[in-house]
Amino acid sequence: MDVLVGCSTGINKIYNIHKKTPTGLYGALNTTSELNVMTFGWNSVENNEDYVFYGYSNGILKYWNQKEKQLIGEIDYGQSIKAIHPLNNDKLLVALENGLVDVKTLTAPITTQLAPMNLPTLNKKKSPAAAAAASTVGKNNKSKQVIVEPVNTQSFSLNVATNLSGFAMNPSNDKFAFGGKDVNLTIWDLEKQVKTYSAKFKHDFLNLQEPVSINVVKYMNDDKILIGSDFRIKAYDLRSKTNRSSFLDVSFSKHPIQSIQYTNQKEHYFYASDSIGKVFCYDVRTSRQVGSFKDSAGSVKDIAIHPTLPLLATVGLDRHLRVYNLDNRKMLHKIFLKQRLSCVLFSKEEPTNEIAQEEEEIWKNLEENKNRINNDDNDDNNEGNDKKKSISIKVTDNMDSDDDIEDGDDNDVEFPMEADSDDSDFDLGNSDDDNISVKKENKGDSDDSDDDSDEDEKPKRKTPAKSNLRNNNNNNNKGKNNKGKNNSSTKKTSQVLKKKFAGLKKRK
Amino acid sequence: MVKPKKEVDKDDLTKEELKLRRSPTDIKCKAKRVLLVQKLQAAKKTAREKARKQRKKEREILGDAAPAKEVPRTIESMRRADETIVDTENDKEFEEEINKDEFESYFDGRVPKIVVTTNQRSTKEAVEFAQVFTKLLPNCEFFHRRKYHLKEIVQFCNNRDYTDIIVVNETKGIIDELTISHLPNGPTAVFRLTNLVMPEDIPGGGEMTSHKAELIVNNFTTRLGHSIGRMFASMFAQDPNFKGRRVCTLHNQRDFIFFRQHRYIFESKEDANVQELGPRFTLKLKSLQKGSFNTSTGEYIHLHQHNMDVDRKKFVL
Repeated sequence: MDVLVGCSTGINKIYNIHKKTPTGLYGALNTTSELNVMTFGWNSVENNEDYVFYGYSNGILKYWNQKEKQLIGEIDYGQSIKAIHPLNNDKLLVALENGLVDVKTLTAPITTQLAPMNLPTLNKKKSPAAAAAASTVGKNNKSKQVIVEPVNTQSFSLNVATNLSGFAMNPSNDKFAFGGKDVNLTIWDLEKQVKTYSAKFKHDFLNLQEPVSINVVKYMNDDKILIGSDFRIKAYDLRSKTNRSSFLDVSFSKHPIQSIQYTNQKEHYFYASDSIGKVFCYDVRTSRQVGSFKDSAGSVKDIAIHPTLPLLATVGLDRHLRVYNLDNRKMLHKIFLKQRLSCVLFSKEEPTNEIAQEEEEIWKNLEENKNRINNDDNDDNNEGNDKKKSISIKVTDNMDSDDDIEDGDDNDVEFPMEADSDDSDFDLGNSDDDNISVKKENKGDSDDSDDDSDEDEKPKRKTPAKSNLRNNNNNNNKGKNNKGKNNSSTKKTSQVLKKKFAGLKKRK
Repeated sequence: MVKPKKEVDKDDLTKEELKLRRSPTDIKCKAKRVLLVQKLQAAKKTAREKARKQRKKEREILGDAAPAKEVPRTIESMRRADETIVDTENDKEFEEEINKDEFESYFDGRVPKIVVTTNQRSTKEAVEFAQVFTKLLPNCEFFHRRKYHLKEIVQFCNNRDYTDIIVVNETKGIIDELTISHLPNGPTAVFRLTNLVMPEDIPGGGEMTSHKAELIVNNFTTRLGHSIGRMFASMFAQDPNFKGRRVCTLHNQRDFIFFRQHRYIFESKEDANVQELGPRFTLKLKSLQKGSFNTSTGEYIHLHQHNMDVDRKKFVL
């Protein structure tokens, strides 16, 4: 495929990447005028890439047949040309630096031999204050051009701003957007010739208006637009009529933006370059930098992306043309072209011999992307496993706490049993001994915890009833049996008391 | 298990050879280790000198049949291939393009008119060094900076048809930067300045006379180097005074530009004696900007970045 490169000094070169040779050279060295704009011809023509428009800083527009290598026509606008856009119905739109937008109709653009004609100086034209004024200016143009060229019709010019640095047509070719120094983003309708949108000026934290110096304007589609100013890149959504502030505002670098490029191959990315040679890829959804294209040592003036293949070309003041792969951002070609370069265009042509190789490369890239996706999935699975592990750890912690609670319950249950047995033994003894033991138990209970005392109170309440019943039974028995039993019970109670005293001493 | 060392018949070696066979790393004592390393290096050096003398003798004996001399390998000889190196004899496009750059008017005969100034609130070191330029360059005037901004100075100089502005930058008494801006359309170069020796500090140095100096611009090979060389050339006189025998040399080597000034006298047709006049300094290109001095919105033709120093055999000038 061919890459058209425009040099700052006015020479235009055509370089074939696959043959690795320059195939064309046109122009003469002229340091007084720089090449500002370079575009292909009308899309309605079958071989529109054989026709190229060149716009220079001294106001000369050239229409060049690249295949037959001859100059078709030349128009002198008198001011620095900032943008050239061939429109439908053989119209040509040219935007100049002083804010003038000129539209001409050329009935036969390909074969017309445009003579070098000097238009009247554009500064003398009055700025139209209303549509009527615009129509009058249009009439004036018609009258003048009828004299010079009777073929031209429906030509007009709009004086839209005081200065103009960035200019863009939307993909539908019915509106244009521009910006400049102290001129914020403004959009005009081409048919109605009225302003339809103007961005709001921002204020900083001191409530002072931020200075605006727009260098580049680029449409993403009919609804979204990107601007590159001196230090920031902003994106505006044109559908909302009430909210006219930007939805994307990123600080690209400390140096002015030189060019912005957008392609349909990667829907959410745009590519921007600045004046120290950095070329970045940004994601519109996340406002983050995705990657960078390295190895430029000077200002990168223009970026071009191939319409179908993932190739990105940059040219700059370090006299090199660099071609990168858009997917992995690696440099494929680096060509020294001996001049300071200012414009670059990709032709849509794809060489038949090497399509297969490029397709293989694309498939390899796709496989690499799949591998990356799988790795990401594995990472997600690992994270899930970690979460499960953490959950299991928590579960084990809960189990441990439950076990502790159960142990506590067991300990509590044991105490009332012992208390009951002690009470039954004491009932068999004498009344005096019983009273003494009860007092001692009270003392012991006070030393114990509140829970134990509360639990012990319940069996005490029950035991008097039982003791009464037993006493009645004892009274019914004979005297001899009563005496023997009393002796044995006294011995038992004494031993038990000794043990209790020992326990109390130990506790104390 | 450590293998036992092989036993060497020590009677065949002299004491010195026996000592030299030991490895320095086996010695724990640093002082003795250092001594041994020095001996080893001296032995290697003497062996190399012996080999060189031997080769010289063989070359004298064999005459024409001797093998060719070995070429020493240097960083310059191992320079990376650079496609921007210019073939000055065969490249017509380069010749046509470089004759129409920003310095075209000088080579058409415009006399240079130069302004030298310093940074704001400079010390006397910067003022003294800036005043040296008035003796180096013809038609050069020194102005104190006072409180003007560089953009204002550029406007003033454009109004009075000056051709160049030189700004000497100083930080804490040490001169560290030199900015040269060609008027009216640039370019602007910023250099880092090091190893400055003033004329009075050069041993055996002479006095600068008022003759117009000759200029030698040496070893600029690439397209960027040619731009820098032409920038320096456009500040010196087109018609040097050969009777005065003053010569200024700008020699580029490994992207460092060495400035020297000498007075020469020819002893014979083949030999010349030189006396250094000073000043003596070294420049390194930091950035080359398109247009006049503008750090915020200017475009850079070349900006030196740190990753350019990774490969020590890649040069840009």
